[in-house]
Amino acid sequence: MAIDSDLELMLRVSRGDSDSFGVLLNRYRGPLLSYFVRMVRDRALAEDLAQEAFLRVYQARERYQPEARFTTWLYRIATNLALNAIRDRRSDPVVLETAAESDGDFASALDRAVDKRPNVEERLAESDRQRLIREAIAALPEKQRAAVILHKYQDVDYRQIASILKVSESAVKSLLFRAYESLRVRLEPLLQGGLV
Amino acid sequence: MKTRCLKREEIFALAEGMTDERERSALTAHVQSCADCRRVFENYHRLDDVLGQWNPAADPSPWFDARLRAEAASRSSARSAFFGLAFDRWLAVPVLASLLAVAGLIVYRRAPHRVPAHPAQVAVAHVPAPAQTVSHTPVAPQNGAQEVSMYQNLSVLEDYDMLAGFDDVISELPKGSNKVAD
Repeated sequence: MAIDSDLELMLRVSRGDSDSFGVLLNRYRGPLLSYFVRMVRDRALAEDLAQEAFLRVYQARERYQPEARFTTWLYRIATNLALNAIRDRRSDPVVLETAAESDGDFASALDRAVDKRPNVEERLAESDRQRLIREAIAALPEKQRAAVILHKYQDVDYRQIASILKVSESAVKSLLFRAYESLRVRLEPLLQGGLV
Repeated sequence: MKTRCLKREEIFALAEGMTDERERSALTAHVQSCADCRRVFENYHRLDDVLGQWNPAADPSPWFDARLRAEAASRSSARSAFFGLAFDRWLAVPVLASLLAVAGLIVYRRAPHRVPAHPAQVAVAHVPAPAQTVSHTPVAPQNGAQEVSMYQNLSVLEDYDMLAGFDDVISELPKGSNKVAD
């Protein structure tokens, strides 16, 4: 059985087929949540934002125009939500502090990663490695961060990223290049084989 | 003779697959022949590998779908709660304000219009008045000033619309019938 394209599914949703929305939800629930987790580094907030993104897609279903790929539209909604959440949180120092603490993704990733590694030293090294990467990405300016996460973790191509961030393709290349240069400097210990 | 090294941006674009076919073959040929550029290229690949190690847990909570369904239902009922018409929340304030204004206008139009009291009446109103009861029995002659005061404080006498109607009634009565029977 052929897999329905996102576009076909979304067109059906726009005609009132809620089952097709369920298929899209199953397809993008995980990727969208992981995008928000990486963007805002707060598991609870990420889930709220993923809910809001799907709600906005559903509410806009009747106005949906298949001009771009569904994922472009979805990630544009998601990116706007994430950037707004980051800006809101920045103005609230209390939330910022607790958000950094509630980065439970790190602990659970560590648990999963170290299941096969009983060695305590390796666990600590893994912990440090994850923390360094997380902090290096978090230190990037918002748009660079979004571009890196979309490119590296969400497998979105740079043309789509241009459309999502509403910038030119050459601007995306420049954003990614500058981001990777910063990451290269910050993650130098890992690139040199340290903490491995 | 060694060809000029590539810019870092060009090597990055090649490493991250952001080049077209023609650029890719030219850049690849250079990187294969230039040790310095190859080192930069491999460094970007290593950086990609390192970044790939960040895998935060992102499993949705078990109630994700149920919560989403409930919120979608709640929002769509909020949109259609106004006589079945699409009704956005932002429309609520102007629509309710208009309804209140129309209701207020209707009440105002139906209410008896009151004319501001005559200064003389206002002056008399300050005098303590006896109980304001309307009796169908003729009022017994009393002290003249007291009687005037009592009538002037009857609220019914302030309803000029009603009193104006009495002129027509009185004019239609047979002559002499406006005399109060003894």
